[in-house]
Amino acid sequence: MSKKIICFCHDITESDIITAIEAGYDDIEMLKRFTGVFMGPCQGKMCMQNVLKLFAQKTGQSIESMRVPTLRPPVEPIPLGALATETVRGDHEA
Amino acid sequence: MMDNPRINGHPILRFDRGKKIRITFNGRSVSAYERETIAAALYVSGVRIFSRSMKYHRPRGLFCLSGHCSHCLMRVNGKPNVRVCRTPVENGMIIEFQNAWPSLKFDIAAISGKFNFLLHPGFYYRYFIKPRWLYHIWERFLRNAAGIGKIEDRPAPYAPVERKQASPQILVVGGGIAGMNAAINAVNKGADVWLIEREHKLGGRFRYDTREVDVDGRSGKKYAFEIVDEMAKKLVPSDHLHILTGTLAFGWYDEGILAATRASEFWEFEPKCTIISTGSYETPFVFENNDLPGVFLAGGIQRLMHRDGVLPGKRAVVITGTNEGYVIAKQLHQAGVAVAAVVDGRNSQSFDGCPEKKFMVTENISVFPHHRIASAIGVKHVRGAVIKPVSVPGKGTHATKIKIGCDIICVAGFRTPANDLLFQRGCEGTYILTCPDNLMRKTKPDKHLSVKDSLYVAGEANGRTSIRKAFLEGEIAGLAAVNHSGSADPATGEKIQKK
Amino acid sequence: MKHNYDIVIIGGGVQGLSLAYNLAKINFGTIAVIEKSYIGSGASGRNGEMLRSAFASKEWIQFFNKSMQLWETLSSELDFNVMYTRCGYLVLASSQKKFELCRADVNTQHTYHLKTELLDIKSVKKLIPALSPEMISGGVFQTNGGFARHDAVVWAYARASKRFKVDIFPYTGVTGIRVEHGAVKSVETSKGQLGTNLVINAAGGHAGDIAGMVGLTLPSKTYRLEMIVTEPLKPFLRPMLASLNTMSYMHQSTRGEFVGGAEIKNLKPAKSLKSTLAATQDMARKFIKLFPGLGSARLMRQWGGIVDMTPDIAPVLGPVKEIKGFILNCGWVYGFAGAPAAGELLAQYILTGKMPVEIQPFNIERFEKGELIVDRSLVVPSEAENDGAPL
Repeated sequence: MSKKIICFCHDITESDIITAIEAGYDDIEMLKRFTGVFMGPCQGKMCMQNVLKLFAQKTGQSIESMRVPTLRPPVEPIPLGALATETVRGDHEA
Repeated sequence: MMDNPRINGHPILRFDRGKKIRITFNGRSVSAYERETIAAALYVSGVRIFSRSMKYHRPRGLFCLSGHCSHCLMRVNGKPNVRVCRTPVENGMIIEFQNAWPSLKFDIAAISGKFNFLLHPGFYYRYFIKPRWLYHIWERFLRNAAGIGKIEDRPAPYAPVERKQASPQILVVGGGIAGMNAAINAVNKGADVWLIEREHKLGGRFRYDTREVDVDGRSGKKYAFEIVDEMAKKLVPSDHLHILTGTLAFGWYDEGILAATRASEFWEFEPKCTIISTGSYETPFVFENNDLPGVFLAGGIQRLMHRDGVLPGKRAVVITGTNEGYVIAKQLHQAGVAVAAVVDGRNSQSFDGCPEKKFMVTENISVFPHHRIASAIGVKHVRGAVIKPVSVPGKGTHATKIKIGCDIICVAGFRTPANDLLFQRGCEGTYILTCPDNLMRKTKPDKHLSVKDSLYVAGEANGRTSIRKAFLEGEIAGLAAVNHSGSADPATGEKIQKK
Repeated sequence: MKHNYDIVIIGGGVQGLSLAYNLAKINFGTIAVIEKSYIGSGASGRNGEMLRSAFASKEWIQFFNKSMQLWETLSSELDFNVMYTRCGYLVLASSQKKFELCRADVNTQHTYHLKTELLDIKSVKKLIPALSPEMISGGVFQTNGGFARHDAVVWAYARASKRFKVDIFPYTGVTGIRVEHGAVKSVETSKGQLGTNLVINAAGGHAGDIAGMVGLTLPSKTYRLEMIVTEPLKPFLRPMLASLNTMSYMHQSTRGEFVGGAEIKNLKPAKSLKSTLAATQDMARKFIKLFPGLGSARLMRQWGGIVDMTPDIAPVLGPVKEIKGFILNCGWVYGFAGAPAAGELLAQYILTGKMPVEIQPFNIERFEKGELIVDRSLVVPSEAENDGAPL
């Protein structure tokens, strides 16, 4: 069977997720850290929905009971050069 | 390979291509039109593999064309990991591929795909424990194989960006249908509005859409892109309306400030009221070989066809679970792509009830209701699709697979709100299944579309996926924000009191 | 959940789990670890993974040297690959003044037999070619410095502890600690009461709240430290890097991501985990000053973590005289690096009653006595002003 890629950024397959859940990483935060899903350049845009659907199915949780994983800045990857301001907010302005 | 993938003679759209320029891709000179994206220029020149994936070096082609998927990361003028689907060409630009050797087409490291038993997540936690030196060797190997682009080796001298600040009465984030309508309504009521939009033109995704819609039930059917144009014309910058395009709002920080980046400016917004109308992300479908070049998200294919004027391929199979699949099928057909089939996960009643049914029948486009895609066929590009009936619990799995020849697989209709900014602000949310295949992450606004405090959401960012609903929600949110923040009624000059 | 335990450890981070494992290994008795979220959810899952013992003070050197020795064999000890990578660690000086301090530090380190060397400008350039020449005055290089995968360490300790029958209770909050006649009697949790005479406060950024439950005020405050990670890049930075002049620390992960943290001047106490604009702008500036090529590298994700920080940045380990059976294992800012040693040494203390010499200086009494431990090779700002070297 060819690979079903669920996380494009880190090449994680659907069966990788199932294996991880069955190995005991059945908390979404731990699954994320163990497999690397949500942590690549897309930051979950391409994979979060499919991973969570699969996660709910495999752990028997209802969709509605699932907690939204923490979402942090930036919404999209931003070049550090675009963030390097001359002065820093809140600091002694030079 | 198509001889001339540029679309000429589209029945609805005209493409103003501008002046011809030249760029270089891996040392090869490539012709391009000014103002088009690098991705479009390269696609026209025959490039189909744009990158190789990080671990297994799987070939990846254009997919979302929105800068979300990381399939098209290339090195541009020495800068790594540039999303070429969002980057306009410039004369003399130097573009190089990353993370492949000797070429994108023939990457030796792709052999790692055969060894996924060694590379799957967690493998190294159980192995390479003893002897210790084994892990040190493995780690060095992994490290040298990892990473995507190379750090810039001749960077320009450090030039800090300018901090700019604004405290708008109403800040509208996202200039699509909902955002524009929110701004129009708010300005009409006398409010001071700032509208920020990440693209260089207002309009959002419906700027690249040719469906016909009567957006408010009164104006008659118009093309989506015309509706966008008309609305954009109503938004004329003034003392009460500031419009910043090319501006990406990327984070709500603990200081209560919404940060945005715009060219060499760093914007810090402290709005009194905010309307989040940032649209939605398309969700891929999971099936075998779902990452092959030739598999596109519908919005991506629309941008390629309607923004860039480029034909994606010759023959397409559309995968869907909503009416969007039929809308896209029609648009593919209009652009000149033969539609081999629409594969709809829903039952046949959904097709019977869809507005595009007549078009499908007239144009003889095969529809497979209650089917899903099993796999994409192909090694470096889609050559076909295998579809099968949706299995019904208790009815056995003697599913007859059907092979369909095609060079494009288009996944349509699965979306989730781009409401990250709301969650960064601490809003509550929930997941819902809008159809068996579509999981959506939603906030819970009240009837005035207020999510919390002075924060509103409208349009696809609120889960709505129709232009009419987005239009209506923009109006509701715009007016509600005006009421909340207080402003003068332009007719009487009196302050509108907060209810 | 049993009704009684010989010891209850509050905090399921790397410190709490290391201690649980070390106690279980020496058959201490019944052990419970209470964690209010998922294990490793606090600083243990958010830190910069920096491992060194090349510090400036005797106390830090001796303690962390013990920890570094344990890091070398931790994977086989726990039968789980924590991905300890011995890539070397450079403490960078960007001014002549800091370089002279480095010179003195290397001499101190050699008296304790550390494998460190003082590098001149040319050697630093050779070690890290991508560093901006303007930021190089030299530095201290520790050959056996490195990093480990922080989540793997948490999981490794947790799994090993469970093999020794330690009970770990995630998603369980501590709601109270009952003290009678000056001695601990039980711990109240959201899932029931645990009778015990021995409680360890290993609650990281929440240690102050736990101490408050027994009427104690710790000499520490909660601070938020922030970090960023960029999109993966091909290898350009091999060793770990701490920059004295910019108060920042960074490394490149095995996946190629550049991960680093830095703190703004005048850091104020905070309990929120949210990222700040100030720190984001500050980190971007600092990392580009150090690595100009990073200007076009993209910030992919950022986060904050809270630490329980004492006035001298050193941890607080050991008993408190006011309450019998209440032991502190908190005040950690370099807690990830110190976990293997702290777990082993505290376990020894708990079993024998004798305080090992390496952790003796980190007692709580040092604050009243005014015997703060001064170590000037740290890259986290303390309440005292830093020496004001310009960026």
